[in-house]
Amino acid sequence: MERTNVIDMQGIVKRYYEGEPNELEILHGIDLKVFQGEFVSIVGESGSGKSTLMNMIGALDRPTEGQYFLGGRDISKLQDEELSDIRNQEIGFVFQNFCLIPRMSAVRNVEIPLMYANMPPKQRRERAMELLALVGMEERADHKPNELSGGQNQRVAIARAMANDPHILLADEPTGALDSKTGHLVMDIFHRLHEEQDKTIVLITHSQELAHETERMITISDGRIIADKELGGEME
Amino acid sequence: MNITESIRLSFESLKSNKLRSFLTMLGIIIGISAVITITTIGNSLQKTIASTMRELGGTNLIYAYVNAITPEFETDAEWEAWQYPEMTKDEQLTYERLSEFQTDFADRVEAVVVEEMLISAASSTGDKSSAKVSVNGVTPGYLSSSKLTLIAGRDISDADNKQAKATALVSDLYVKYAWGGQNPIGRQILVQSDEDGTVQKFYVVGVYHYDARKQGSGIDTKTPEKDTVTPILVPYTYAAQTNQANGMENDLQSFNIMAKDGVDATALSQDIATYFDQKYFSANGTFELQCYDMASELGQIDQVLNVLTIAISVIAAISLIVGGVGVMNIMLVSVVERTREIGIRKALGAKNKSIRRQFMTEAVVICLMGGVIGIVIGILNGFLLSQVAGMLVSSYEQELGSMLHVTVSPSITAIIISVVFSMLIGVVFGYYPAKRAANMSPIDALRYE
Repeated sequence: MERTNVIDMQGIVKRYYEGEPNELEILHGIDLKVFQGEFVSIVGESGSGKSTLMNMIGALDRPTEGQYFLGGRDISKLQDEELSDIRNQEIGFVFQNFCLIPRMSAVRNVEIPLMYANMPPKQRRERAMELLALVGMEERADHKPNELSGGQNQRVAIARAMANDPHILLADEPTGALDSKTGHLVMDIFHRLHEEQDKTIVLITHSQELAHETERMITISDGRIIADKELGGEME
Repeated sequence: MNITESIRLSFESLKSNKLRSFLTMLGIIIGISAVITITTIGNSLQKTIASTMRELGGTNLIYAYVNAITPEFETDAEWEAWQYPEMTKDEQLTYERLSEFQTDFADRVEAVVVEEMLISAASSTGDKSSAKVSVNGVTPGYLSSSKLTLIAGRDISDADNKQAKATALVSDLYVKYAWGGQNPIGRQILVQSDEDGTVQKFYVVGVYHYDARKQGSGIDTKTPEKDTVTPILVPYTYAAQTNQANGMENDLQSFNIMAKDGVDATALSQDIATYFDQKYFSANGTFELQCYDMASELGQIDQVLNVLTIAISVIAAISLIVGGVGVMNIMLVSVVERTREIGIRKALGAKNKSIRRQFMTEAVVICLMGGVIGIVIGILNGFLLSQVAGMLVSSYEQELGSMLHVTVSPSITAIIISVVFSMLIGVVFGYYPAKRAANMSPIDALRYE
């Protein structure tokens, strides 16, 4: 099977406070390729630069140097507004602390990316309900985040990440706030999306155990990739 | 994301913190309701006064009276020693002189109206029974200048006055009770004075409709209709000559002028005053003719009300600006509080302009809601206060109160301006907080705890 690059990073450098005495370089030139349908984990200690790398991958931030091709398009020099579209259409975020808006019901939370994609309200509601059904949360569509358990909230968050059918799911410590049992349930959903929908999933974690569930483990330390290892993965 | 979406989101976030949203609105509510209250009262007063004046004679009515010019007094003693001067024959107003005036001003004057009381209390017996009446001498034009209507027969004419005929107009009430509804036109009636018992004869030429609001001044409104004293109107000259024959001095000091339609009553007033001053009063310089016209009286009231409205509006504008600063303050707090939400929204694809629009809409919605609530409260206030004012006037001044019909009408202009102004406050004071929210970096916003 011919493998296409979804993420292609070349010489990514990120510096803060550029030109000032307290200039700080976090990433020292990252080269990274992730292929369509891969389930990749990025592992690193805190302070290793993995969060900064995640921000780069997620188009939340621009690199200081280097090029970033997402789906073949160089997005490293794009303006804020264009990056918003990319986050909306091509990337689905799953955060450690769910990042749901507390005063909105589950279904309304799932609707947010659809709203920013200008989908009409009726269609949006239908699509949001489908997505909640995908993660088994359709019964709780009208509950607010504080009326749901952590695992349920994370499932809603995954449904929201899938809203505009993005190429990449970018998960930052998705089980970090959950106990191991619900954590496994959440990981099962990622595996299912990977297998059934051929989603490219990038998992950022500090847990070796979790990383070993994926197909490929990239280790980052002190702003550099120090290891890039193909794993057997569960499914093989 | 379109504007209805933004409005929906705004309501969602306002509902999530009802008390705070209300308190934020309060400044706007107070400011707008103050403006609407005062403009409603002002507008209602203007309308009430205008309609009352129209009912009582309209803006083409001019009151004229002779006034003695008071000298400058140096001391109290001088003031005490001063006596109201006697009018000489040359200065006295007479029916003939007023007729001459009317001819001279024929192009602008519709009627010159003079009244003289002949008998203040009398009774007259018809076919059926007796009714209480008074007898009042008038000139033609009295009915129309008092906005009274002739029901049957004819009005007192100039010929009646020239010849001082004993013709009479009687009221419909008199016809109803004294004549049992039988029209007495063409018949002779007898009027017996309550004071000296003398009897006078009149020939009825017409019947007018009695209006207690216009004629009932000084009369207890609780008197049953049957016992109401209604005036019998006779020619002015008849009343004047009879009075003089009885030894009374000519005491014609005032008269009313009805200007023709379309004539500038204020300018006419001045011309009339000048005419009389030059013709009769300039030789001695002791008297002058004073003229008041309804139009300029109305104008003066309008002016007072306008000054009042502007003063209150300035105060209200200050309170609106304070309210606006309150809105801005709360919006800034709200932006900080919702930093994470802003980060989440940006991560999910919200553009800067969507965030900016959301916060702007929220500020405008708060201000607009405050404005609408303020308008409603203001109209209610204005309504209540206008009614209370009407009642107060009625209780202190029964005469005036019986004439007043309080019309409450909120000023549409003020309402439109209020709506626009409150939106404007939202835009102006919402812009900076919204801009701050829009320019947040998604990473910083997401990391914010």
